[in-house]
Formats: sequence, structure tokens, C-alpha cells
Amino acid sequence: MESQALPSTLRPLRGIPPWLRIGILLVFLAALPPFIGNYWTHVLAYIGIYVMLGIGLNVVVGFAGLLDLGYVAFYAIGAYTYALLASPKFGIHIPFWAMLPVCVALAALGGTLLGIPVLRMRGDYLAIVTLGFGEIIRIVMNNLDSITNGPKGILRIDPAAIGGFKFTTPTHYYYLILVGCILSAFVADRLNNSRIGRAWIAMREDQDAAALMGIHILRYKLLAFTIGASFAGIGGIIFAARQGSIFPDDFSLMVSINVLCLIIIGGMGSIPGVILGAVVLIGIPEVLRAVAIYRMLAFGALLIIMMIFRPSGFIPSARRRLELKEET
Amino acid sequence: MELLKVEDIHTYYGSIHALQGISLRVMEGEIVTLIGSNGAGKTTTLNTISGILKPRKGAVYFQGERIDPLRPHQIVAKGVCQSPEGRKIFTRLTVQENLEMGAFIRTDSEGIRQDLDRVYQLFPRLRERRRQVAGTLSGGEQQMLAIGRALMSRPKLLLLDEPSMGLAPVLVETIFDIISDINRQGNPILLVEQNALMAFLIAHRGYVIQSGRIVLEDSVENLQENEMVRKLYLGEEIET
Repeated sequence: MESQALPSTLRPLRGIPPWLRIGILLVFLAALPPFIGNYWTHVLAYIGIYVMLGIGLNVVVGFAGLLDLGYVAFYAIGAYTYALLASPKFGIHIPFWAMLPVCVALAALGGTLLGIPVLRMRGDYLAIVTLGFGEIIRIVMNNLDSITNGPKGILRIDPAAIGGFKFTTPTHYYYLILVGCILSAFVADRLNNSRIGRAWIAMREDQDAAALMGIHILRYKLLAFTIGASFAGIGGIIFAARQGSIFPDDFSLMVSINVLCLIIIGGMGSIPGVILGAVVLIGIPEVLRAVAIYRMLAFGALLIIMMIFRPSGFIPSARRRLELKEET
Repeated sequence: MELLKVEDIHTYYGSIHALQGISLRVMEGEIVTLIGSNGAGKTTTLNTISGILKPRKGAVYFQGERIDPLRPHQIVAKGVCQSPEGRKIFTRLTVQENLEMGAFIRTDSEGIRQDLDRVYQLFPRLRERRRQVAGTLSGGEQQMLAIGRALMSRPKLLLLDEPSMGLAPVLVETIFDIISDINRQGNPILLVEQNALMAFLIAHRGYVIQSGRIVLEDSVENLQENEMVRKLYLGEEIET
């Protein structure tokens, strides 16, 4: 991961090689559940789902520079696909491990379908169309009673199972999600350092110049939407299996906004940033339950303070840090 | 041998008829310059050749093959690479990353390394600053980078859009010397310029563009003698 230039918050870690840093973090996370109890394990797993969503949206927004406000749609596609084919709704019970690639593929397909009409759009226009797309998917789920049960949702979804092992407790899901996060982070990191990643950087920097370098703009935009969406597919299927029931309201605009927020707070384009962003954005409201009615107020204030004092996020990517410096 | 043939192209911006039938050709080994004032259609011509704009009428041939229906990245792959107006370097990438981006379509890492070396030989300043973020370079260095980046695709035809723009006269001379060197190393060049004086020093042939039309085409020697060219583009007082 982008460790060559650590921001000031992480400076004490500079002496430790990145692989060791990641290793220690993983061992710590893996050892955590017995010490924190079911409730916090549950909260951490929930954060983990947002980490996956954040990593996926970060591919679109952070790497490729395309503002997508309808990301929740792909999460919904992943979740509903599993819910419909692994619940009593139609009496179909396809196993979780077999559905995993299906959900990823369908979410990716959704990304491609959204990508095609918006290929020639930039900036604000792109944001509005993607926002509409996200809402359309939710409204369809809400109104397609005969298939999705509408607002009554889909209940008694099969729990996740791999081989003979059934995931039942919060701890089981915690580990499943942890593995999902590790894989997502790994894939995203590889992508960022690949030829595709370089094409995205060029495109984000200057689309016209990128085209003159021989970069097929339409293909790489579509690729960003498709790949980004597939991460949400994994998030969706795990979410559905873990909850056991899903409703259209689980896929509201707020999810897209939250995921975008956590990327901005964490540091756009940076994978460690996205992870920390999810911990802060999803975790802090839980911590703030103590102050009950002032919870959202305190949370909002925190976000504002954060944006004033650290506009480039907690752990900005080295490149993004430059971009922001230039703008301010 | 004929490398590039532009045949009667008409390009529009919406309803604005920007190019009204441009024809020109570039032969193997040549530097051809296209001179004209602001808004005459110089950049539009280059962008039509690069495939960024599509002509509504007419055709562009490269090595005998029609390229105007192709997309920009396909045209780069054919061997036509442009150093755009205003340089358009990737300001947040380092000098070396910019150059590597120029070689995006290539996969021969050995050849890329050689060309990187070649660019650094042409522009020693870029080698000194290879780890520097490109946005912090001076205007002249950025222009060098834009030309170097275009060379990294190992083009068969190099299109240069106003390399003199915004540069001090001394720097313009340096850059034009290098353009001439690049040509002597075997690269044909189509050079778009407002600075006719400089362009004529290194080019072999030239075209004069006015309001989207080619009004004059000749060898540089003859163009320099032409009264209209001297008056309009070389800024000379002509005694009558």
C-alpha cells in the first residue's frame, strides 16, 4: 500500500516496514472478537461492510476520478440477488459460495450498464445521473411487489455457508467480512499499481491528454464502473446473508452518501484512508450512543471540524495530497 | 513518400464551420509547418488529425490508410502522436511518470527504456528533474516534457501544437533547435505555429491557414519571399 509517504498522523510508524505494519494490524483484528463481546464484534463487522463498499467506490471516485452518487445500487443488486435465490421467497436455496460469483457478476454488469449511458459525461452531470440510477434501483425494489415483496422486504434469507460450515454467530461473520476486506484491499491495491491504474490516473489528471497518450478513455471509464461495482456485489451478498432479511430502505441514498463521506474523510484514493474513514464514520455514531439525542449533532459537528482542519483526509494518498495543496 | 494526407476536411463545433476544406500533406522526413493567427483553425486541424474531433466531410490518410473514422487511441497506435497546445502535461505526476505515460500503448520495456534515455539526451533538464512533480517545472521545461512525452510513443509522425507559446525567446530557440534535431534523427513533424519567424527557420515546407482555409502552400524559401506572409506573419513593413 502507499506507504512511501506517511502523513503526520502515522509518523511514529515510519520505522516499521509496511508488510509488518499490515501483519500486526491483521493479527490484532483477528484476535479481537473474544475480548470485545458480541455487540462490538457486530459493530466492527458492520464497519467492515462499509470498508468493502468504500474500497469499491474509491476505485471509481478516488482512482478514476468519476463522481458516482448511486453506488448503493450495486450493493442492492448484490444483496437482492442472493436474497431472491437463497430464501423461501421462491423456495430456491442456492448455496452462498455459489452465489458469491453470481452476485459479483451481476453487480459488475449493473456497473457496466450504468457506465454506458454516462460515458461522455463529466463532473456534475455524471453525479446527477448516477444519483438517479441509485434511486431507481431502490424504487424498483420498493415497487416490484411480486418479486421483491416491496417494502415488506425479503425474510429468512439463508445464512452464509462455505462447504459444510455455516456462519451463524457475529464472530463468524466478523471473520468472513475481515477476509472480504483483506481481499478487497489487496485487489484494489494491485489495480492501483497496474497498467489500468495508470490509465485511470492519466484520465483523472487530464482526460484529453490521456486520450492523446493512446488511452482508450471509454474503455477505462467503463472498467472503473464495472470493477468498482463488483466490490459492492460482495458487500451486498454478505450483508444479506448476515442480516437474514433485507428491505428497500437498507439501500437508500444515505448509504451512497455515507460511503462517499468515508472516502473523503479517510483520504481519497488511499486504501488505508478508506479503512480508517469507515471506522470513524460508521464507528463514531455507535460510540456516541452515550449522548443519545445529541448523537447526530455531535457527529455532524465532528465532520465539519474534520473537513476544516484536515481537508485531504486522515491518510491521503501521496498524489491526492498534492492535488489538494494546489487547490488551496 | 507520402506519410500524411489530409483531404478537404470540414470540421464543425456545433454549428460553427471551423475548418472549411483543409488539405495538406506531410512527406517522410519533412518538417511541415502550419502557420496562422489565433482562431484560424490550426489546433482544430491537429485535433481532427488526432481523432479528438471528427470531420463532417473529407478524409485523413496516414501511410495510405484512412484514419479519420478511428478513435484517438487507435490513431496513436498507428503512429501519430500529438504534443497538445498549452502542453497539457500531467501536473501532479513526476517528470518520469509523465514520460512513462507517453509510452502507455507500448509493452516493450527495453525499447521504452531506450526511448526514455533518448528523451533525456535531447532534454538534459528533464533528466535532472525526473523525480520532480511536473507542475513545478518552468514553462519551457513543461514544453520539453510535452514534446518528450509525445516522443515516448515512438511516433512515425509527430504533431506539435505551438511549442513556442508563452516562452521567452531564448527558450523558443532552444526548443526549436531540439525539434530540428528530432527531425534529423528521422522523425517527420507537423509543426503548428503562430511564430512564423521561428517555424520558417527549421521547416521545409509550409501552409498558411486563414479562417479555416489554406490560403497558401509553398516551400519555406518561397513563403519567406511572399509579400502577404511577410506583412501578416513576419511583421515586416512593406514599402509600396
